[in-house]
Amino acid sequence: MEYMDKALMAISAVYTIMAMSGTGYILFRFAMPFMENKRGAVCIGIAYAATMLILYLAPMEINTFAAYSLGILSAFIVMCRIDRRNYKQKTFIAATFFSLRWLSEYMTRILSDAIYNVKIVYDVFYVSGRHPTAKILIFGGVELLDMAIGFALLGISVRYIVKNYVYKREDMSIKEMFMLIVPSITGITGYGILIQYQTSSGMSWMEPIYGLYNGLAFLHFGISIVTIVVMTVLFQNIKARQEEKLQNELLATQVDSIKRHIGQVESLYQNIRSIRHDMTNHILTLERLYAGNNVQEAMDYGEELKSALSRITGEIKSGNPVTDVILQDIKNEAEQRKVRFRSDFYYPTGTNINAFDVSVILNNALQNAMEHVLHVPAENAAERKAPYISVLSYHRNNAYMIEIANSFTGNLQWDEERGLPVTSKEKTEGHGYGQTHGYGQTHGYGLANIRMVAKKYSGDIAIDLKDDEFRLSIMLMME
Amino acid sequence: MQIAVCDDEREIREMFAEKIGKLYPKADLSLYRSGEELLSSAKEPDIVLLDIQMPGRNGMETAKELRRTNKKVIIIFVTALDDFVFQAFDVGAFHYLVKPFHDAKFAEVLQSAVEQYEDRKKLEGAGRRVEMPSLLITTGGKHVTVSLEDIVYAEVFDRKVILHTMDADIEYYGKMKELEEKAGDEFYRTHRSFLVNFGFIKKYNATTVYLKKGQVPMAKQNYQDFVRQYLRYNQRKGRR
Repeated sequence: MEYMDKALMAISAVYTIMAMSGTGYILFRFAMPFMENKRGAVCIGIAYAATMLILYLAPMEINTFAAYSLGILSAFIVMCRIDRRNYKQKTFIAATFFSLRWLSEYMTRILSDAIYNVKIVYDVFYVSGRHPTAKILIFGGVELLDMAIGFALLGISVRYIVKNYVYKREDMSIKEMFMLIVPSITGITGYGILIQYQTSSGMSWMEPIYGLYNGLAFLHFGISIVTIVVMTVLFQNIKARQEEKLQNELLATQVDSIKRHIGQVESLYQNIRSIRHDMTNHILTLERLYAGNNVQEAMDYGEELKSALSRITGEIKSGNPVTDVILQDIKNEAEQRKVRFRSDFYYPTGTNINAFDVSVILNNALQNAMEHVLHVPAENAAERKAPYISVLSYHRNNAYMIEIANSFTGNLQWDEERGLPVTSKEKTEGHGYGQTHGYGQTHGYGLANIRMVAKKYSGDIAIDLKDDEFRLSIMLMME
Repeated sequence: MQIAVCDDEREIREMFAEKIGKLYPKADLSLYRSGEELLSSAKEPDIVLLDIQMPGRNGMETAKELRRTNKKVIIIFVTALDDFVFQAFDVGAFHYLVKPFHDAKFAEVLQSAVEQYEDRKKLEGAGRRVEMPSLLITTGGKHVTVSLEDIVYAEVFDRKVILHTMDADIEYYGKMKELEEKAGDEFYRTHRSFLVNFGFIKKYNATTVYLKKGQVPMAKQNYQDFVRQYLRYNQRKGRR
């Protein structure tokens, strides 16, 4: 008898210590991807297991709930000391781990209870004096099964959360934290109510209702675990999808920009073909002039030919064919519309910055600028100065800057919500400049798109309005 | 005002000489056949017109070398190729002219270069050489002056401020708040305990700023404002 009690106690002690270190290990696996380094995560696992072990070995009575709370609290403190940032996410990790552990532990307890209630097991185990070895085996077996199921439940939920948590390095907001912690709180409070009721009602395990009650409790704990996991995973999925949506929008603006570029290049090609066709005529004319010794006329003719050629093939050399074509296009248009245009733009060749992203910026900004300078309100027409547009780019370390400025009269309407001015395109809504010109098709383009591109390169945009000049500055970070 | 033209083709050199002579007859003009010749010359030109494709040392290498000894020189690249535009601005080019160009365009570029040269000379003549603010601190019982522009970032730790420069870490007892006020808008407080110099930023994201030396954490709530201020900083520095 003595010997058997001791054996059971020894088994129980071994299992408890195993369970503590196992839980510590799972906590380590949970925390690791969220931490700066692996060593920190190891410390957290050890802090948890060590606290639990001390509480277990210390010769004082302590309520299990309090013990678990202390364990996770010490892990939480270590976590915050090692990695001093994003405390909300750490709160989430601690709370989630605590409730997952607690709920899975209770589920396995109910399970083992049910096993002991099976007639044969019950007979062997509780009718004393018989089969001491069988008793030890049953105890050991049930405890082992318990532990295995407990680890499996905890391990799988933790693994699932870790796998689906996409933005591990991102700071968690207070709202997010509360939202993700609520299922844990519900689970734990539900547990509290059930246990309170069970003890206060003096329910005996002999009563048939006990089985039903336990079954329901088991279900509740299970559902709570699922809720915690699903909630976290779902939330992360939503976030990932938002990111994807943003990417798609960017892609759509790029595609638009590529289409425009193709159109522009096609017309350029047409022009070059017609020049080639005319070339024979030009040569003949020049020959005739030289033959007649009309040197001055020949020189003038040559000069004219040179400027015609550069007008068509482009004088703007920005270091990239895509941006060349855009700038040339706007320059030609500006000349036609008597707008002064100046480009000091160069393209960041050999960096991570995509030419079509830059063309989204240039197309949008130059289109807006052209609208601004042409669409002067009637009341301001008298004070209208010589309209101009200028593009400038420069870089400093890895920051690449584009500044687009234009003459500006009148007032700017601000869209408070987006923190951007309302473009006249949005205001006129299909009449005036937007419609008469081919740009009308790209309705919906605007500063928002420019800002989207800037954000893609960790940059931003800024707008300045002073001395009758509107200036849009865009910053992109190069790699 | 000294203007230099460096091109391996004689006709081009002479064409420039003629054009510049017409526009600025008082300028001291010198012509060079190669990058080597320009670099070995005793003269220190104020404005250089530089061809890129030259035998021997090409224009880009010449510009880099020239920039090392002559920080103020205004470099205008003149070339038939537009493959080097970005590199040109990396060595602080003033302009990049692609051949063939109109006389009017050339005159405009040269005029703005001359204007910049004159502005700079006026500034120096007025003795308004901008003095970089510095910090007087006591460290290890000694008074030390640290120039603000040398500080990569500052960190506060246990009531001590650590100034990280490219070649040393200097510790002193002080408050971050005071340093931040003194440092002004060339610096940004990314985090409660970190102040970074915009001039040393390599890259950044919502959680970390990577500097030319080391990296510092960023508080998420500061990120948006940080990006905005960094943009403003770059804008202030402008194209030089």
